[in-house]
Amino acid sequence: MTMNRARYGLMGIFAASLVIQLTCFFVVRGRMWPEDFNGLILKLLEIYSAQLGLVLGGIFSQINNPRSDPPAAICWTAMTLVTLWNLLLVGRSMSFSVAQQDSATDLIKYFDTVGSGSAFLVAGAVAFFFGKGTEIAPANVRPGPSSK
Amino acid sequence: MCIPARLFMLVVFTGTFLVQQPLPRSNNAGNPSISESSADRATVKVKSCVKVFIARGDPAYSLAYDYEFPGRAFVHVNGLGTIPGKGSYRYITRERTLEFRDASTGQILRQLPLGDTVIVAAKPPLTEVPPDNQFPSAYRSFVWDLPQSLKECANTVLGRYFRYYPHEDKDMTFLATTFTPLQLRGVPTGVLGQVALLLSFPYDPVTGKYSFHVQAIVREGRTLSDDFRPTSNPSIIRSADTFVDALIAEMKHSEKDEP
Repeated sequence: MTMNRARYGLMGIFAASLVIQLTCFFVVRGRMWPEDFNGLILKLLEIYSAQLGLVLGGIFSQINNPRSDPPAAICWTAMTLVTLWNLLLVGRSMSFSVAQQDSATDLIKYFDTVGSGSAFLVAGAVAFFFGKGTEIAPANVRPGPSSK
Repeated sequence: MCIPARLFMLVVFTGTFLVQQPLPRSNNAGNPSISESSADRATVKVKSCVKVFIARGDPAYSLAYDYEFPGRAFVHVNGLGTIPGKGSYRYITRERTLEFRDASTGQILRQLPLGDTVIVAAKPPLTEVPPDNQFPSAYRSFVWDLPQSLKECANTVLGRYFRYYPHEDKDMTFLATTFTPLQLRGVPTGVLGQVALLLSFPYDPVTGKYSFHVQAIVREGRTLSDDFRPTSNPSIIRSADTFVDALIAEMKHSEKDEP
C-alpha cells in the first residue's frame, strides 16, 4: 500500500464516521431540545477536530513532499485501530438515533469519556502517517550515521 | 367507709383503669403482615411503606394500607382528613406516624409509627410532586354532588395514573399528584407531554354538593432529552384537558362501576 493511499484511507474513515454521525443527529434533531442538538454537534466536532486537524494538516503540508511507502502491516494496523476508534463513536451515535428514548446529555458524557479515553488508539497512527518527524527508509537501505 | 376499705377500692379502681389502657405499640407499621386490633375490633393493616423523595432533599413515605373501624361512619387521618370508617388508601405522606382519630371528638383511635417495609438498595426514588405554589392560578371547576366521598373516589381513580400527596390547610383539602404521561395526538414524533394535578375542595358548599377545583401543570419533553419544560403547545394543552375530563368522569362513575 502506498503512503498516499494509506493517508487518504485513514482520512476517509475519519470523514465518513463524522458525516454518518452528523447525519444521524440531523435526522433526529426534532426529538431533542435545540440546546441539546447544538451541544451534541459541538461535542462531536470538538472530538474530531484534534484528529481531523492533524490529518488535514499532514496531507496539505506534505502534498509536494511524498514520503516513501510504509510496510503494508503498518498500514493495515493503523486502519484497524482508526476504524475501531470510530466504531466506538459511530455505534453509540447510531443506537442513539434509533432509540425510542435516550438522553443527549448521556451521549455527550459518553463522547467526553470514551472519545478522549480511547484516543490512544489513533494517536500513534495519526502521528506516524501525518506527522513530520517520521521518515520511512527504503526497504533495502540500512540507516547509517548520516541518517541521524 | 373506713380508710383501709377506701384505699383498697382506690387500688382496685386504679388497677382496673391501668389494665384498660392500650399497651404501648411496637414499631410494627413497617411489617405488612401485622394487623392492629383491639377490643373495638378496629383493624389497620399497612401493606407497604416506602421512602421516596417528593423533591430533592424532601423525603416522604409512599404508603398503602387497609383499615376498618366497625361502628364508625367516619374517622380522621392525619394528613388525609376525614374519610369513611372502612377502606383502603394509597398515597404519599410527610407524616412520621399514621394517626386515626374520632372524626367528631378528635380522640386518638390508633397511632402507628411509619417505617420502611421495603428498603431500596440505592437512594430512594424521586417521586416528584410539585409544590402547591408552582401550579398556575388558573383552574377548572367541577361540581361534586354524589353521595360518595370525593376523597375516596379520587383515591381510587388517581391511584391508576399517579401517586398523590394529600394535605389539609384551613378546612380545605388538597390532593397534589405526581406527573403522568399524556397520550398526544397531532404532535410530531418524539414530542412528549406530561401533567400533574392539584385538586382542592370544598368550594361553595351547599347541602349535598360542593365545587372542587383542578389546577394543572402541563409540561413538554423530547424522547432524546432529559428535561421537561412548561409548554404552550395547543395540542398538548388540549390533550391535558381531555385527560382531566376523562379523569373526572371516571371519578364520578368509579362507584357505579365497582361490583
